[in-house]
This record gives sequence, structure tokens and C-alpha cells, in this order.
Amino acid sequence: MRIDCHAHCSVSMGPWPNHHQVVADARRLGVDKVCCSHPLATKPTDPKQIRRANNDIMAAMRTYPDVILGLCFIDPGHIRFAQDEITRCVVDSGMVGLKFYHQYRMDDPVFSPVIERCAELGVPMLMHAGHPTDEETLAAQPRISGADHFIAPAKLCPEAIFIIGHIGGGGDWEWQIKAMSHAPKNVYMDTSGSVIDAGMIEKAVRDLGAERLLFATDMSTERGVGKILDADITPRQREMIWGGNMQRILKMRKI
Amino acid sequence: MIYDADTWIGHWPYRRLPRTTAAELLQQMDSQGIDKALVGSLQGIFYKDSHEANRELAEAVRRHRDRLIPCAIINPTYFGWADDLKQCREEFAMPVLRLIPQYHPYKLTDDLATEIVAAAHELKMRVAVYGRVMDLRGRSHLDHSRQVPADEIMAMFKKFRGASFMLLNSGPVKPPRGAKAPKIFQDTAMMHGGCGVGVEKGLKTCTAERLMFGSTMLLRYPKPALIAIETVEATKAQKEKILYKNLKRLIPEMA
Repeated sequence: MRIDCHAHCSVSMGPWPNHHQVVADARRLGVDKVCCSHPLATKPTDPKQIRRANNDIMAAMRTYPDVILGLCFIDPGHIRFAQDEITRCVVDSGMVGLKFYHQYRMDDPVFSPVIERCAELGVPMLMHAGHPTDEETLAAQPRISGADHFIAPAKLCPEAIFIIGHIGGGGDWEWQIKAMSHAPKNVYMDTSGSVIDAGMIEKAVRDLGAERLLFATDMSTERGVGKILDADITPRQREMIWGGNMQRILKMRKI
Repeated sequence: MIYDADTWIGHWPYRRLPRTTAAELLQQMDSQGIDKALVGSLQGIFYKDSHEANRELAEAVRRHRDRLIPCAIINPTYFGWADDLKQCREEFAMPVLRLIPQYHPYKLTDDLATEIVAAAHELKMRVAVYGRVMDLRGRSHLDHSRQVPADEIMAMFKKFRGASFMLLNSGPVKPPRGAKAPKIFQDTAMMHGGCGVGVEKGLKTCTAERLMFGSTMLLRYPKPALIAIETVEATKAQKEKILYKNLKRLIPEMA
């Protein structure tokens, strides 16, 4: 079973690739299920736009119920709205987890009620993350979360499930691995992103354990699949990364 | 048949690479079904006297010349570059000069760049320009390299009417028009995205006659570049041109 735990699609809104294309690409590369969200990059975000974006994902889930698993995008700054959206999308409509962008850093206290709610529901939280070292990216994403920013909230709420987005999303991935090695076991990392530096997956497996890595593409489909196929790891480790670990996480759902 | 226009051996100063030698490159090529490759020395980018790396490279591939064709790296701001270039061509039989303006202290619009390109053409060498070698989003604090603008690259190409150039690890660049316009052959290493989407854009922008397969191994995982060719919507004839025919025609030593 191959589960892409970090992808995006769009039915009617853009800018993400069309849901038909996302599913066609997945089938072509032997990916069984794709966790899709529709995050907004703006700051501040507009709740109406967030609702529209999540509705778009629900439409994709209805079209491909066997392939597309929805992730509900929220901005934790809209405290009450975020809770309502979790109820609407996760509890009532079957989305499998949450997706955060870089409106706030993961260790910002604004996340606390959302983290507690996700722990109660037993659903994972996927966060756009990275450790960029160039001025351009840092200026564009001043609140981006590094793996180090997951340590405190993960220790504070050990029942919550955190996923550090895209090891290859651009940035110092060795920093991300080192920082995550200090995080508790309820923190996972996804393997997506356009960066395909040789040895990346092997180092993550060596230092974190294959049981904490989740296959993903984040729309770098060829690169996401190719780096897992190329990695010099055991077949058992590869199976865990492809989908075994994510299947285990999905079974933690309490509702 | 697959020929790779863009491979490396050697060390990268800011990160440990799992494989570094000519023998390991050949192993990787065997595992991916790649027959022949143009290869450069990574440390040659960083040596003050890059020609020392050309000597090392010539020795490293000496017994594998049927499959590994070495490429010279020369910094034209360093004393004696013309002699070094001559030795690379005449003694080491290197058919390609790789220019690395991202890391070397000149602009492609400088007179020195024009001089070294003219000297390479005089020696019947192809000139390959790297749009970039490394993604700077995760740069080391020691890495003060620069982004090379596409305009700068094109301005240099246009100085050489009717000449053929290789542009490596760059997004698709629209070729200049006109009977005497330079011919630009691009590798596919940076053409990625959803299944085949990046190469499809390359086909539209550059045409199948001007694209070459490139993986950037041993710096990166090679499989993603192969998946991009496998999945692109293109005819068998177009794929053959990309996979080996164009490079074979461009570099007679590859035949």
C-alpha cells in the first residue's frame, strides 16, 4: 500500500493541479491513496476562503472516495472558526487529518486548542515545514516551522500526532533530521519535496528510524516516488515508508 | 539506450555524499540502465586551482572511458586557464568544458567568459553552462554562491552566432530565434513536477531536438529523472532523442 500523505489538489479553485490529474498521476506511479489539502498562503487568511478551500477538497473526496483522503486546512488564528471547521470537515465529513501552513510557527501557543482537539480525535496534523537558510525564503516565510519547533508541543501533548512536512521542501534537511531526532515519537516526517539529494532518505532512516517516515510527494510526483525507490534501505523499511506507517496512523482515529 | 549529460563524481564540501567514486557511479548507472555519461569532478568546483581536479578526474575514469566521458571544469579568473584548457582537450581528451558561474567569481557577460568559450570552441570542445549546481534554499553558511540569471546566460550564448551550447540543471529556456542563433541543448534534470509535466514543458519550449537526459547523480538520486522521461506524453522517437540520440550527435566521443 502506497499512501501519499502530503499532496494538494483542486476541483474548481486553483492554483493546485486538478484532482483528476492528481489521481491519474498517482495511479500511474502505483500510489493507492493521496492525502490532499488546499492550504492558503495568505496572511491573514479569510475564513470564507478557508471554507471554500475545504469544500473543494470535499468535492475531490466525493469524486474519488477510494483514492483521495482529505486533510482539513485551518489557520489556528481563527480560534472558534478553526474548531468549527474541524467539526465540519473531520468529524462530520470524514477528512483524515489537518493541514497547517506557515501563518504561525508550530510552537506558538495559538495552536494549543487545535492540538488538544486533534489528540482527542486521534487525527494527525501535517505542517508545512523546513529550515531554509537563504534570505529569500526566510523573508517570504518568516514563521516557517523547523523540526525544532515541534519538540515542545509534541512533549506537551504526547497523544497528538505531528507530521513535519517535506524533508525535501527546500532548506537544510540535515538540520531537520537532527532536530527531529530530539522530538518524541509522536512526531513523524514526510519525505516529499523537490529536493532529491542523494543519501537523504538513508540518513533519515538511520537517525530517525523508518517507522517515523511517511512517503509523500507534495506535487513533486516523480521526485517523491523516485527518491524512495532509489534509497538504499531494506524492503521492510521501504514498505513502512510507502504506507505502513501512515496506515497505522489512520487507525488511531477515535471517531 | 540511455546517455546521461549530467553526472558527477567526487565530494561536495558541505554535505557527505553516500557515493563518490567512478566505480560507484558505474554501479548506479548499471542499476538504472544508463549506458554512458558525461562526468565532472565536484571538488573541481571548489579547488582554487580547479585543474588539479581535472587531473584527478582523468585518472579516475582512465579505465572506464568506454562509458564515462570526462568534462573539464575551469575557472577563467585563475591564472593559466588557457594552458589548462588545452591540456584537458589534448592530453585528457575531454570533449566538454563545464562553466560554473554560480560558484566562480565572474559573470558570463564578462570578457573572460567570452575568451574561454572562444578558446574552447577553437579546441573543438562543447561548452556546458550550469544554471545552478545546488539549490540555495538550504545553503551552508560557508556557501556564498549566487543565483545566475537566465538573462546573463542567454547574453553570453548570443555572442556566439550559430554555436551549440549545453545548458545544464536549469529550467526550460526559450531558445533564441534566427538562422544564426546559437543552438541550446538543455538537460532534463530540472524539468520536474507531476508525471512528466516538467519534461513536457521542456518539449514545448526547447523541442525534442534540443533536450538531453540528465540526472545529476551522484549528487542526487537518479530515478526521478528517469521517471520524468518514462511518464512524459511523447512519442518513442522523441524519447529516443532525449535519452541518447541528441547527446550522441552533439558529442561524437559519446558514440
